[in-house]
Amino acid sequence: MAELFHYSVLLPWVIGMIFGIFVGATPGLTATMAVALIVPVSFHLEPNAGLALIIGVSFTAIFAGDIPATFLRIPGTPASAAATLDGYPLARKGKGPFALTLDLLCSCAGGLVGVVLLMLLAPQLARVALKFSNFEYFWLGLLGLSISALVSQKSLWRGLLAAVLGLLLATVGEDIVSGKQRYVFGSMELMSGISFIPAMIGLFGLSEVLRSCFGRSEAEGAAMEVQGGTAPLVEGTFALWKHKFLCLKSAVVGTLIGALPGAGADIAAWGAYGLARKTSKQPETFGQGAEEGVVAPTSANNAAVAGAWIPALIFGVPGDAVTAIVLGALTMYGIKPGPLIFEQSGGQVQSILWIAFFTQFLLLVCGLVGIRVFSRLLRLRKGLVMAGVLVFSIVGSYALNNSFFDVGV
Amino acid sequence: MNSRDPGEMAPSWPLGLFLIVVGLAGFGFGQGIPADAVGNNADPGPRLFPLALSLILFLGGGGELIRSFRSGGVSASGPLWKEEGARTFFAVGGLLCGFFLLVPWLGFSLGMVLLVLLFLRLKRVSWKVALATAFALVVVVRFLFGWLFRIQLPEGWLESFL
Repeated sequence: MAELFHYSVLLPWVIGMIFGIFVGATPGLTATMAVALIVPVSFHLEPNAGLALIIGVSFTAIFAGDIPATFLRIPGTPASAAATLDGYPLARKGKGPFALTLDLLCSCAGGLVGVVLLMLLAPQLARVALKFSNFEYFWLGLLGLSISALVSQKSLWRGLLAAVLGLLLATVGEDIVSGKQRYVFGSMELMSGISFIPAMIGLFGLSEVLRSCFGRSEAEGAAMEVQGGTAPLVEGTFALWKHKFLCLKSAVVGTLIGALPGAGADIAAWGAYGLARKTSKQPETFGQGAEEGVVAPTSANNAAVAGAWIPALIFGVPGDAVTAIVLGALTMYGIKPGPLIFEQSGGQVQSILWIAFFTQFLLLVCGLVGIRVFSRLLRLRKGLVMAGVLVFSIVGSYALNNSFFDVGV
Repeated sequence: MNSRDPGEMAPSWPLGLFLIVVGLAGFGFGQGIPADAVGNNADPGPRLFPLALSLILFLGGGGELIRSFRSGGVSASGPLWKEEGARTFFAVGGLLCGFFLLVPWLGFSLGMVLLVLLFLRLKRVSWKVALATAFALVVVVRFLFGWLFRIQLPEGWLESFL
């Protein structure tokens, strides 16, 4: 464990986390993309340094997606969509750094819980996760959709209609069971369906740019002026302590959902948000800057990152897109995921677990710096900020598949 | 007398109309989806699901429309085009459409400079600041995506001459 703190490991570790903050905070650049870009770089490093780089990027990018979600109502990654619901209203009240600091503390706490569960219960959880069949996944999907109705405070019916509209859009492309084309209209681009990231960017990013056209943009910008110094950290710590059981519950939910192959941090975040709202004593405050609305999804999404490693390490079945990429990298380091991983590569698996554990503490430091930097950036005139959002939204949509069609979407 | 819960959103006829149109389009275009049965006759193939969703949207839109007319026919927030900033909203929408259509000719960088410049002018930012911001953003994007991430940004007909 001591060699993990040698500068040859620590330096790429921290650089990876800074890279993760930057990529995660840019709408259109996902955590998956961040890891995909960093994996080839990691091959030039020794195993511990390479693993630290990859793990550092994946955890940090998920947290960093909450930064634009809170300040701009534009999730940096899909896993941060749930964080917009209460993070942004808090930022509008001038409590942006508090919301993000609370977010950061919950991300660290959630990640720690996830890693501890990974360390203690990985084989048992993996066995349960692999028992999930099509029926269970169907109900999990239905649960996720029903949360869209749950979070529609003022109109349950409209929330359901929005979910139905989303499902209809999701049918565009080739049917995965029969291979028949639906709503393709002869277009090659539509055959693979409507990409999720461009749709999310349009829904959150461009809609925010268009919303900013309606008067009082300078006053809105002024409302975002916030308290500085250590006040957010102190307040965030007290808030985390106040909601410690919710944080723990959300982290456990996040880890369990993350352990399900194919169910990633985004589903974990929504699941935890829905559960928190259902069990809250003040559910009417959700969506208006409730601290619980920040604690739940942010604890869950980072915990899910750890949870995704469970089936990946134990059975070689990736828990999400990020671990799918990482599995390839692990084989390059001579680590063969599977039931015998602890016997065959015990030392390296221990390194992975300790790296994941200490990443949560480094995340605290890197995250605080990231919050400071972005807070200052976002104090620019709102028109300039929106121009930046516009540019990165367009480029981010294009960058996913090198397709201008996605920009049109 | 309006017995609606004050917290509930007012019914909106544009939303109702939109859902009806989408539902009709989904249902109409969905007729072309093959309905081969998979397995025995109990499996309806890939057509039933989108048709059912379209029907739900059509009915939901109809319900929204009826509720809107019963409550007076005006949405609580008033028509969009009367709101302050509506002209800017439609102008930005037009800019985005223009950008999408003109990029094959102008190229990504040039198109982006024009888009940002005009967008900032609509937001009443001075020419100097708008131009500087536009160029700065394009340089950053070129560096990050073009050089660092090795993503080939589209070059238009005009850009290829420059």
